[in-house]
Amino acid sequence: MMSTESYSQKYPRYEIRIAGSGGQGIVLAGIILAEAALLDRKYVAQTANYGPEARGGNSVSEVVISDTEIDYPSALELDLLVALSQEACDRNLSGMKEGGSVIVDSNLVTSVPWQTAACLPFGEIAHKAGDRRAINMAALGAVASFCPVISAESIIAVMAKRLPATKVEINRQAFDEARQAADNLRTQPQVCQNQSEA
Amino acid sequence: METLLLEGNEACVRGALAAGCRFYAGYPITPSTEIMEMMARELPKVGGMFIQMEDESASLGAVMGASLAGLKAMPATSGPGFSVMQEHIGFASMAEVPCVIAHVMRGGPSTGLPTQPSQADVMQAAWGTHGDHPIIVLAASSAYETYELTIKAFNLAERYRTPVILLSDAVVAHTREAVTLVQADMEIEERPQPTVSPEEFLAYGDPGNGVPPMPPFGEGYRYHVTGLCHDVRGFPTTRSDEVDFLLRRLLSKISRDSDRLQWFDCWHENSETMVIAYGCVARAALRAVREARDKGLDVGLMKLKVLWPFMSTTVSNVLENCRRVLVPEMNFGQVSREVERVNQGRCEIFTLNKVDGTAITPPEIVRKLEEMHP
Repeated sequence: MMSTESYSQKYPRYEIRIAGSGGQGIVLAGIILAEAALLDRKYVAQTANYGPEARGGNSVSEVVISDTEIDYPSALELDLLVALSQEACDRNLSGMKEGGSVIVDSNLVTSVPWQTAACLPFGEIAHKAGDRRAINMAALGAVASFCPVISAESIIAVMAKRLPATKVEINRQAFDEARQAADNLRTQPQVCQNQSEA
Repeated sequence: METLLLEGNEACVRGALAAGCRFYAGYPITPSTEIMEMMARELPKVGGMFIQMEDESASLGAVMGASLAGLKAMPATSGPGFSVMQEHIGFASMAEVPCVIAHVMRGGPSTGLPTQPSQADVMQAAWGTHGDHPIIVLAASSAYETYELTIKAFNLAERYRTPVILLSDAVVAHTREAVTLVQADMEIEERPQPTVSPEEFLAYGDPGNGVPPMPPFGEGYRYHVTGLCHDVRGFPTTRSDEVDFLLRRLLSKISRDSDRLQWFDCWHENSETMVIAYGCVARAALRAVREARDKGLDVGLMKLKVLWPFMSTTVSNVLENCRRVLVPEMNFGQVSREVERVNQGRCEIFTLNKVDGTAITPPEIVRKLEEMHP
């Protein structure tokens, strides 16, 4: 018997992939998002995929969020892609859902062939906040702005718990700064400057 | 009850500690290393002991020593390390030393694909060590299942005095999900203790259920432990009646109890087509079954949680009610051959084998199911 509504329509998932290179804190960013989703009483699964290198190489972390139990824990169609390297952007655009959004670091990613893209200088924002390594938390600031299913409050609460006490303030500042910038971008029709062939 | 965001490896440690594991000896290897790291942090907090050994052989050796002295103990490893452990897995089977080995499968053979998933060690888990020997192998498909099955693995190891292997894979090990720690609801089993004096004690007799009591070393019960075939006191023997008694008891102590080792989950079990899956592939299969049903296919899923001894009767019952079976696996067909053996030609058996270091996805299974339906 065919049902009128498909399984994925009946039980929608919100899927985020954060991609970059090893050492950028990609996996930690995924864990913090997942814990924040749990705080928001969602079902969540967070997966990671990386090469054997400690730094460099491709690093990917996915967060799948739903109001019902998650059968398959990896992403099927991305609602949101965060890319912190050109290669990460190129490799992952094919996994996007139609109408999904792409967030990239505007200095590290110069070509984003996607309709809805937000290009923000996360590395620079982190550097100004006091530590370039906060690039991952700056990117989460933009995620908080774009993602309707996780609250910024929960992300902030988990950051305070998961990050070293001496680094919380810097990361919080990078997060707030990027979130504000992303909020501003979202209100504009054309959100990405260096978008090509979209 | 506490609910935490845990990855499979962290859930394994939580389960082990809840089961009473107080000794860990290991050698780090991706993708199992988080188990070792967390044990190093957590064991001292509960009065346990952690040792990093020089290799995996020594790790299982130290674990057996701790177990003989009365502690619940484990190592964790992956492919190459599991190969190195095989000699001692045989010793643990023969000398009946309870222990749990968490084996997080990665791509092989040899050092293969350190960070990527595989299911290619199912046969090795059963037959990697030489000789007919008893073994129990469980397979987890989620962080929660890793927690639950680690507790059960310790229970089985103690109940049957045997090594128990918990299979996981790089996907399950590194997927974080909410895990509710339900240890209070789960029974924790301890190894049987002697009811007779040290003088009357027979270390390797048969008290009726095939599992002799196991007093800890150092409390007055002295006996001999060896990998050689041994008599009821543990001393080496070549007497055919004693050897036959030993090997038949070793094998039957688990096989006689197989009714208690039928752990599986079923969705839409009376469907025309059934998928039989385990580990991370079972998650993709569940999604695939739901999507295939949307498309009008009459499909169900059986998820196996025990791989050895193979659940022949239960699988046979599922095969009795369907026409086609798909066994998707990240190997060249290690469980599908067992399914075929049980099937005896009744259903059409299909396989989906992926060995490229990436996990099987729901669309791949759906596509195969569509091909199978004429």
